[in-house]
Amino acid sequence: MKAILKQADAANLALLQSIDVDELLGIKDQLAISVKTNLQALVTGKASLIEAVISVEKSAGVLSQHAATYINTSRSTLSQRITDITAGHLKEEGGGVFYEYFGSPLDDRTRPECVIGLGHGSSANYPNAPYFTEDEKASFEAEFGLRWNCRHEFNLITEAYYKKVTS
Amino acid sequence: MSETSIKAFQDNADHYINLINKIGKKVQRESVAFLKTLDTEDGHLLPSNANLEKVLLFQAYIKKYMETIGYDDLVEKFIADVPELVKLT
Repeated sequence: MKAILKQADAANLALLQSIDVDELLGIKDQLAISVKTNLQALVTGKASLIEAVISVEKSAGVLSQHAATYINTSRSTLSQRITDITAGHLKEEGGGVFYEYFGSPLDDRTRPECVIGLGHGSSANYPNAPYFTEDEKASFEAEFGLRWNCRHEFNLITEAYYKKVTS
Repeated sequence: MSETSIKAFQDNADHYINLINKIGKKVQRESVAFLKTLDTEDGHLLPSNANLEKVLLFQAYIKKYMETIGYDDLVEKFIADVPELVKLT
């Protein structure tokens, strides 16, 4: 389903971007503090050079992990926000909104909540997963919160398709 | 959004994660190189004032170093890509 974005939605998306700038620059600052704190502990603790090298490599490597997690989550949050804005416009026009929990297929990295979302787990709260009503989507998001590094999101489907696949 | 759009968002994230990983490697190398400038005795770091002073200065240095190797530019480009991604939806 094609996204529906209006002029006023730009402010909403711009807010997300400004948060991204703050967060990503914050990660840089945190890394510098973290590396310094680690070095201080190594120096005052008279660590061996070999031990210090391993420890410093580890603390400096945290940058990649944190920033990568943030970048991944930021893009999927943006994508989900566009879907949610579109859903809002559809409702304004009097339509119902329905979703499919969509993304990477099930594998050994799939989290338990995503197994449920993809319809492979058993949950009385989401009997038609991976297909969701608006209330079920809201309930799922409230239950599982922000899913860092998640490879799935709720994508809009038409009411007719929802009825066909859940009947 | 179409599957193609969602994939484009994911591909864009992967592109920046690759760049971040390269920056991360450089930061690791620079930090280890710094470590080797500290005074040691019998293969152990000395808890001297000189060493602690160097460590304090390293915080500002590594932050500046990250800017120099493109971290801030990467953040800017990451944000600048958004309008193009939105157009794909």
